[in-house]
Amino acid sequence: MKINNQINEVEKYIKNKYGSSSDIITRRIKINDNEILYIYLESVSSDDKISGFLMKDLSKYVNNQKEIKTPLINLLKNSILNSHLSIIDTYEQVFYNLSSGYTIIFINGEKNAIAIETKSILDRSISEPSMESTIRGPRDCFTENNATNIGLIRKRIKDPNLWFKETKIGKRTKTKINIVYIKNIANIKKVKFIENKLKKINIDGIIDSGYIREFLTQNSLSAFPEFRSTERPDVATAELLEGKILIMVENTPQVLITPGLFIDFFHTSEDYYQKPINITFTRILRIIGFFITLCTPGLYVALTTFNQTIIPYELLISLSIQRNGVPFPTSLSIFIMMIVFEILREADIRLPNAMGASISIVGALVLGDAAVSAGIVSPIVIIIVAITSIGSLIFNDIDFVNAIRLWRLIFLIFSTVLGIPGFVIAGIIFTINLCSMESNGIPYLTPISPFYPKAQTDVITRFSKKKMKYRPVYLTKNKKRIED
Amino acid sequence: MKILKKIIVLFIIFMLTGCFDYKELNNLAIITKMAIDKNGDEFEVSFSIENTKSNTESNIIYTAAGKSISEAINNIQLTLPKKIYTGHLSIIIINEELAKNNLNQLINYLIKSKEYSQNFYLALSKDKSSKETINEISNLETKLSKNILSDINNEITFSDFLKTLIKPGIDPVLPVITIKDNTIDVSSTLALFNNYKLVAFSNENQSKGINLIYNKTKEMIIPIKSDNKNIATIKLSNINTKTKIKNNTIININIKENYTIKEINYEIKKQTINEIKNKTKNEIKKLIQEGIEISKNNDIDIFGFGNMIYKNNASYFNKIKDTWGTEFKKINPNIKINLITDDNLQQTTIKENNNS
Amino acid sequence: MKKIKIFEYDCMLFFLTQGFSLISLNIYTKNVKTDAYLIPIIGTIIGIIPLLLFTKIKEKNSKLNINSLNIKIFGKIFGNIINTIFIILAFIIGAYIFFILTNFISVEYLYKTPLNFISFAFALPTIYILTKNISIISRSIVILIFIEIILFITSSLGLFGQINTHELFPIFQNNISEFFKTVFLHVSFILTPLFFLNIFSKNEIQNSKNLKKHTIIAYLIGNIVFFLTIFFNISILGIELIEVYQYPEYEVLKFANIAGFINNLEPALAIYWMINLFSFIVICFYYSKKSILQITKFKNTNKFNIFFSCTVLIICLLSNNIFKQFSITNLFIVISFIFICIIFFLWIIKNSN
Repeated sequence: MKINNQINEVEKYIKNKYGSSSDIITRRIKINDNEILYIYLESVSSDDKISGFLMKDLSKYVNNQKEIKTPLINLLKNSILNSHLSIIDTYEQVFYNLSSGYTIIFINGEKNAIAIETKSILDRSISEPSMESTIRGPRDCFTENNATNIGLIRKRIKDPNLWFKETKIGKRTKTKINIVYIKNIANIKKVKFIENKLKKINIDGIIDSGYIREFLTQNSLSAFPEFRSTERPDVATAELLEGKILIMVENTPQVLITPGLFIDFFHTSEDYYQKPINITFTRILRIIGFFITLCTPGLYVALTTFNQTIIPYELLISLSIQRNGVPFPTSLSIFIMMIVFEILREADIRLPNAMGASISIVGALVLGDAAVSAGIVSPIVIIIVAITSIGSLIFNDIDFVNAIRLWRLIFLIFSTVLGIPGFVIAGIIFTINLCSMESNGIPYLTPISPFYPKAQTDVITRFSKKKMKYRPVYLTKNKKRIED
Repeated sequence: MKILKKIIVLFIIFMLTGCFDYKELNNLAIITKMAIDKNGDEFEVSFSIENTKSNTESNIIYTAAGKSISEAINNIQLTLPKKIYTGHLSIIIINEELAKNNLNQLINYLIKSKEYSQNFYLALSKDKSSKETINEISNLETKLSKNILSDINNEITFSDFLKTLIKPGIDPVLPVITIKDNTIDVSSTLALFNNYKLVAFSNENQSKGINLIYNKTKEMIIPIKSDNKNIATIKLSNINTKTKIKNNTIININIKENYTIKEINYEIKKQTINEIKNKTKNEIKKLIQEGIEISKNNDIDIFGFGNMIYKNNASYFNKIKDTWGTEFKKINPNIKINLITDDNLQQTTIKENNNS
Repeated sequence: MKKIKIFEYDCMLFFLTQGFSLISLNIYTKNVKTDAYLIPIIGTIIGIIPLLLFTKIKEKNSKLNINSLNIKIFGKIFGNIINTIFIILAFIIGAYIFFILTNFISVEYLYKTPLNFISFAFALPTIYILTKNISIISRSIVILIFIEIILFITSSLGLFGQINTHELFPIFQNNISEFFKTVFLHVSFILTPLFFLNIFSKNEIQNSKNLKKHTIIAYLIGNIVFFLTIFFNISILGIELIEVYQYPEYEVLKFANIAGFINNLEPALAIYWMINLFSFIVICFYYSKKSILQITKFKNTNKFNIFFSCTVLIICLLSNNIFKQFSITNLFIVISFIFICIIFFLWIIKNSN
C-alpha cells in the first residue's frame, strides 16, 4: 500500500498497526513551512546514531531563514550524511525497515519517504566456538548478525568473484537468506536449483537454518544429514574454495554447506593445518571409531549368542562367569544400557555448566557400577556401551551422531535374530540406504562409491598440499586450483 | 510402497519371538575334554565341564552310558541343567576297545555333527579307561591350575587323523596318553592302526624313531655309552627330516640336525669327538630302523611311503594298492644323517684333581 | 537415461564370473580328482574367445541391449519368445543361487533355524535393492566389492602359509575326455552369467571407449579368484577330505592363520561368500526386471515395484522346496550355455549380412 502524503494519517496508521507499542518514538520538526515526521523503534535503533547524524544534519535547515527552492526531499537526500539512505514508497517497506532498526522520515505532501540506517547492535560479539573447538587454527565463529557473518567471509576471500545472493523468506519473519559461492568455481546449475527451491518455500517464519535444511532436502526418509553445518568461518572459506555453496541465514550462527557428502563428516578443519602423515592416521582412527560405534553392540550379541567359537577360550570362561545371575538376555541388557547412556548424553547438553560435570560422573560411574552390583547387567555390557558412546564423540555434527544411533539399533536387532548372517544383512541394508542418498544431485558416498581415483588425495589419506593440485571433479569443472 | 514396508516391519517383529539358534552364554556347559569308552555293548561318554560358579574345582566330570554315542550324550544332557556346548573342545580320548572295533562309528558321528567345529586332538588311553585318564588330568589341572594340554607337542588333530585314514597308502597313528608322576606324557607310546582297527603299540625307542621320521621332534637328548661308566649326553636340536622318493621304490630319508655334546663325564680327546659322532649316527639309525620295523611287522605303512608312490605315479600304485602292506616290507629306505656341530664346542673340561 | 560407470560394470562382471564357485569345487573334484585346479586355468583361456565375440557385437550395436537386438534380428514374435526364455533362465539361475546361499548359511551358521526363515531374511535386502534404480544398485555393488576384496585378501594371506604342495599331485592320471568335459562345464559356468550383462547397451556405460580392455581385465581377475579358491582347497585339504564335507570352502578357512592370532575366524571370513552370492542374485533379478519392463512396456511405477517384489519374495521362499527335490544339474547350465552360443552365432551371421 502506498504511503499517504499527509503525515498525520501516516502517524496514526503506523501507531495503529504496531498496536501503540511502547517502543515507537515519533517526532515532528518544522523546516521552513513544511513539517517532517520521523519515526523509529527505540528497541532496535541506536540513539547515538540518530542524534549524531540526523539531528546534526537537520539542524542546518531548521534554523535557515532563506528560501528553499528545491523540494525538501531532494535537499534532505543530499544532505543527510548517513552511509545508508534509501527512498521507499510502500507501507510494507516502511514496516520492514522500522523493524530492522531504520529511521523513517516522512515529509508532508510527499509520497516518498526516506529511510536512514540507524541500527543498534543487539548481538553478541565474535567469540570462540562452543561446539567445534580445535587445537590449532583461528578461533572466531559466526554470530547472529548477518553483516558480521558476511564480513567474516569477505575478509578471508578477497576475490571479487565471491558472490552473495540474498532473498527474504518467511511471511512474518522476512529472514534474510544469503547464498554464497565463488562464481567461476561453483556449479551455477546447482546454485540455480537451490534458488528455485528457496523461492517455493511458503512458511510463516524461519527461525533457524535447520528449517531451510528441511525444505531443501531430497531424502526425507533417511537419517543421515546431507547438509553440513558449521559455525567457523575458516571451515566455510575452505569449502567455498573447493567449490561448495554456503547458505547463510540471519539470526543463526550455523551456516549450511551444500553438498555435504558422507566423507565430509570425517574431516575437520584441523586436517589441513597439521602434518599430512599424522592426519592420515588420524583419519583412519576416525573411520575405526565409526565402525566401533556402529557395529560393536550388534557384533557382541552375534558373537556371544550365536557363534561362540570365535571367542578365545579364556575370554569365553570369564564372560560366562560374568553372566551368572543376570536376568535379562544380552541384547535386552545392551538395549537398556544404551537408553540410559543416551538419556545421560541428552541431559548433559541441557544442564547448565555448574551441574553438568557432577551429573555425568554420577551417571556414568555410579549407575554403571551399581547396575553391575545389583545384578541387572554384566560388567562387559557396561564396557561395550561405554566404548560405543566414546566412539560417537569423534564426530562434530549432532545429526550424524543421531543417525548412527538409529542404525546401531537396527544392527542390534538383526544380530539378535540371526547372528552373523543377520549382521551381514543389516550391513547390506545400511549400504543400500547410504547409496540411495543424494546431496544436491551428487551421490552421497562419492568419492568412494562412484569411484574417482583422482579425488583420493583427500579422502582417507591426505597428500601434501603440493600434490593436491586439483579440485574434486564431482564438485566443479574448474579443476585446477591455480590457474595458469 | 509404504504399505509394503509396513508389512515387512510387522513381519520382522513377529519373527523376533522365536530365535532358534540363540544360546545365552551362561546356559552353556563348556566342554573341554571328552572321553569315549566302549565296554562290551555299551558306549560310555564322559565330559569334563568347565566350572563357572565356585572357585574350588575348575572341572567337573559327568558320565553316562548308552547303546550309541549320541544316546550316551543325550543321557548326559538329561542330567545337566545347562546345554552342552562342544565348540571349544580340545581333546577326545578313546579307549582300546573302541579303537579296535568302533572307530568307524565314532569318525562318522564326528563328521556329521555340526557342533564339533573346532579342530580338536585325538588320543588313546591304554590299560585304563579314558574316564580314569580324564579324571587324572582334571586333578592335575586343579593342582597346577592351568590348561596342561597346551604344552604337549605331539598332538594329532582330527583333520590330520582323517586324512591319514582316507588317503591311499598311509595308515593312521594316534598318541597314547599316559600319566606318570604329575606329568602328562604323550610321546612315549604310539598306537598304530590298520585302516580302522588298532593293531599295535610302539615302545619308547620305536616311538622316537617314528617321531623322527614324521619330523615332529625338534629336540632330542641321546645318551651315548662308550664304556659302562662313560656316558656322553648328546643334544640334538633343529631336527629336520625330509623323505623323498625316487623311481617308485627307493626312498631316501635325510635328517639334518644340530649336534652338541651336553654333558660328558670323561675327558674329551680329538678321537673321541669323531667316535661320539659316529656312535650318535648309529644310534639315530637304529631308532629309525626300529620304528620302520614295527610298522613292517604289522603289515601297515604309517609313514606314507605308499602315498608318496601314489603321488608320483598313481597308475603304478593302483596296481599294488591292495597288497601294499606286504609290498611295504620290501622297502628299505636309505637313511642319511647330517650332523652339524656347533663350532664353539667347549673343548676343555675341568679335570679332576687326582692328587691329594 | 541413467548411465553406469565403467568401473561399476567391471565390478558386476567380477561378481558374475564367480557366482558358481561355491558349488564347482565338489563337482570338479568328483570328475577329475586333482586336476581340478588346472581346469580354471585352461577354462579361462578358452573362454576368452566367446567373450571377445560378445564385446564385438556389443560395440557394433551400441544403442541396443539384448532385448532390442533379439527383436531386430529375429523379428518381433520370435525375438520376444527368445527374450522370455532368457528371462525365465535368469529367474531360475537367480533362484538356484539363492537356494545355495540359504543352504550354505543353514548348514554352517544356523543349523536349527528353519530354511524358510533364512530365505525370508535374505529376501529382504534383495527386494529392497531391486526397488531402486540401476545407479544405486551399481554403487552398492562397488562398496560390496571393497568389503569382499579385503576379506578375501585376509583369508588368502592366512591360507598361504598352510599350503602342502604334495597334495597337488598326482595330475593327469585320469582320462583326458573327462578333463575336457569338465573344462567345458567350467566355461559354461563362467560365461552363462556374463551373458546377463548384455542388458546394458554400450551407450548406457560412461567412458566406454575401452570396453574390451576393461571386460578382459575384470574377467581375468574374477577367474584368478575362482582359481585361488579351488587351489587353496585342494592344496590344504586334499581331495579325499573335500569329498567328506558339504562345503569345503568353509572348512578350509579354519586353517587360516596369520601370526598365530587370526585363527578360528572362519565365521567372519566366510562373510565374503555371502556377499558374493548376494550380488550375483541381485544382478540376475535386475536383468529379469529390466527385461520385463522393456518387453511389456510398463512404466517403472510403485505398482510395478510392489508386483515385482512380491514375485521375488515368492520365488525366494519357494526356492528351498523346489531345489531340494530336483537339484539343477550341470546339464542344465551346459544346455543353456549352448543355447546362448547358438543365439550368438545367429546374431553374428545375421549381423554380417
